[in-house]
Amino acid sequence: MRLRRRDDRVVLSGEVDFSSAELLAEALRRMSAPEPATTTTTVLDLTDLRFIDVSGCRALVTGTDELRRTGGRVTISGATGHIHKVMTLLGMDRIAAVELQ
Amino acid sequence: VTIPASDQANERYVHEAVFYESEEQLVATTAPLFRQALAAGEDVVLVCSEAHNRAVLEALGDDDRVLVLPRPEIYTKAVSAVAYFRDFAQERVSAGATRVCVLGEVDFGSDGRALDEWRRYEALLNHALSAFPVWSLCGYDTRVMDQEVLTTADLTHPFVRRGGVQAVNPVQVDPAELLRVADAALSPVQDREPTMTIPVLDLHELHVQVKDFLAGAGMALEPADDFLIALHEVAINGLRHGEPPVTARFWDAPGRIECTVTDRGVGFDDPFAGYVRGGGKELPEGGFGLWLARRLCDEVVMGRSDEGFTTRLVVDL
Repeated sequence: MRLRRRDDRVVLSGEVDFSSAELLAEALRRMSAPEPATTTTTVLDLTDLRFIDVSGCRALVTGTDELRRTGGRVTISGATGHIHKVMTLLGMDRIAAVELQ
Repeated sequence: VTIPASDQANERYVHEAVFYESEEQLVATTAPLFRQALAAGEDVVLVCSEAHNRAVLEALGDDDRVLVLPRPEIYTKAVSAVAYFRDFAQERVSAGATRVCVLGEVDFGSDGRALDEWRRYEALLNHALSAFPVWSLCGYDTRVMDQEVLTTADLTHPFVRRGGVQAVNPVQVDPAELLRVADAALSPVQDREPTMTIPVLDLHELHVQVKDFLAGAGMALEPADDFLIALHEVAINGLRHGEPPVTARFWDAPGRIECTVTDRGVGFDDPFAGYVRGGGKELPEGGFGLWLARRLCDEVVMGRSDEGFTTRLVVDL
């Protein structure tokens, strides 16, 4: 699993499962802290994400709780067909202030 | 006992089998109910054969408030069909609907597994829609349907309507019991040696071996990924909630991949587990792994065995 900032996006790549989920949530909390100078929408780029399980998806939600509670929005972009299907089945597209592209 | 339609508005979910002998009888039975519903500002939805959709619509004067849903896309498998109507009801209620009246002609096909799937669907509706103001009228044509299908209708609906007269159904069976029976018909007992057996210790190792196995069986990449996440979540359930050791076994059967995940614990007995997505606007702990497995596999059955607790996953190739 690798999480890094690239320009205005947060790029998540590799594989995420329950063993790395808590780490991901914590890293997201730090990385997505709202900065007044920047946009209030955080784009999570999953283009290079190969695997994510339910715990990993939950980490994307809990790791951005604070950000979304304070008016920020999260856009999930670049998910592969399989990952997009999993996220839709989990209802990620219905979570408050989350857009699943 | 006959329940006047006007009293039903106080109920939440009403699940009713409508038995009819002809198109004329179906129309004569349902059109007056729908006229009344439309007059009361309620939603009317049709999910029937094209001919019956047309006949009922015509009797309602082609009222453009009536919605027709795509029947073949909905009745694919029980878990998906139930989810469809749950999401639909939620959407309509959010849009202000006071009640949603659905006339559906259920159709899961006629192959070997179809009847079990049919029974699951009708039994699950009672559970999955219980909190919604929905009136499901399930149409059963007594001239053309198999006796087994008509019996399924009798066992699963709290209300029945014969000759246009509604009555409480005295022979309905507890939905949980019906689901157990349907699952028992698919009990996870394999009479052949598995093609591959993997002790589940390291999930990464499991992924690598299963991907190889699925590629060798000729499964395309995306279905293989779908199966892998289902297996992954079931394996995690075994590791977290079961007793070690956890074992995954695979059978490369003609046209399908079968897999069992067994732990040495006593497991659990909840025939509704994983059939309804929890959540809402958040993604809370618990239940989502099995839900994913049910949505992504063609068959998911759980049960106790001499060895412990086994979950069986099947995907058609």
